[in-house]
Amino acid sequence: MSLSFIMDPLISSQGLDVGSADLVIKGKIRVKNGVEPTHFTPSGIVFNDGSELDADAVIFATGYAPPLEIASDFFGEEIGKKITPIWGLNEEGELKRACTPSGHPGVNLFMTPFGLLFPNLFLLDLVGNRRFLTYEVLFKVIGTLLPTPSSYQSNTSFRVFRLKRGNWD
Amino acid sequence: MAEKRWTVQINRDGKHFTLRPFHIVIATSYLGRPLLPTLPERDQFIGEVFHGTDFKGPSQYVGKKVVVVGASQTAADICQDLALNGVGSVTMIQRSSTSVVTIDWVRTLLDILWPANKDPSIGDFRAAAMPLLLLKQIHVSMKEKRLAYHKEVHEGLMNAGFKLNEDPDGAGQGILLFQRGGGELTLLPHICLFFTCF
Repeated sequence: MSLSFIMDPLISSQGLDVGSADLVIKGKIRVKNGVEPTHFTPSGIVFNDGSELDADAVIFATGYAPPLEIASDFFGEEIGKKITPIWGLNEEGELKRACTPSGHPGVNLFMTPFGLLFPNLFLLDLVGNRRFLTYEVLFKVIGTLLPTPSSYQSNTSFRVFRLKRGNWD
Repeated sequence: MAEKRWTVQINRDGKHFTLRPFHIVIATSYLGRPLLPTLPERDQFIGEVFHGTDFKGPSQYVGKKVVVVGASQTAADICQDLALNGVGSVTMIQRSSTSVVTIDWVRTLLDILWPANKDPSIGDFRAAAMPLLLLKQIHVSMKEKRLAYHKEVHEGLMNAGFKLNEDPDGAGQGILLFQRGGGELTLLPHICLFFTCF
């Protein structure tokens, strides 16, 4: 989430800060709701209600593919499809697959979005990150079974808590 | 028994070599490749078409018309940047609905977890230890309060033709972030002036 703070020099001189909602409300950003773009014309873009907008540029802020697409690129379809989806909530209500087994031995997935907020990711600092990851790899190498996600979570909570006090292990 | 190792072919600037690791860590961010829809007759259109990832700032669109397809955080940020910097016409295409909170609301919640005068590591631990289902229930229970807080900004947005939601299950943006990794729109606070000390 964006916590940045953008000030319009002109308006801020009047002591006001400006957000995109305000620009929408004032009509500086127009909104067209409930339509899908269907095709282009030489001068613009056409929507599924038949309406058309002239444009010099069309920017698609339409998101990103799932992060694990790349797993199939790297490892091929057979292994790629074993690697279970990441992100979203699982049946326990926890984040899917963050710092838990990937679904295929020897593949570790590591992601750090908004790292501080996550039970499963558990990244209090860079040193903590690396150690956590290293320990997960170590568990696998020495054949220790990984605990279930919920117990993993409480374990890691406890570990990180201790880690912050310089008492890892 | 065969040794369980990967065989990794590396091509570094044309130099090929092979690694034999036990483990491979994929650390390529939680975003995949940018999704850019392919629409018919793209070649006919004389303007530019690109994904939000490739937005380089508003300067070359001054006085021009820009259409932004999408209505979440990226779209809001780009539209704001364009509208504040002299772009003649900015239109946001909202295909469905969006969960909207102001940045002040988020800041209020974050201030509870990380009070200004407390050791941030305590907040880190509390936030990290919070089960997400419980967090979701907390957000659901705050729905009425959240809607009351945003009454004016929400009404203004609806009057401008912007469609809102409080998905999932009334939990709103705070949970949507975890459930979908997007769909949230954190707005800057002008409209909520009376809640701030500016």
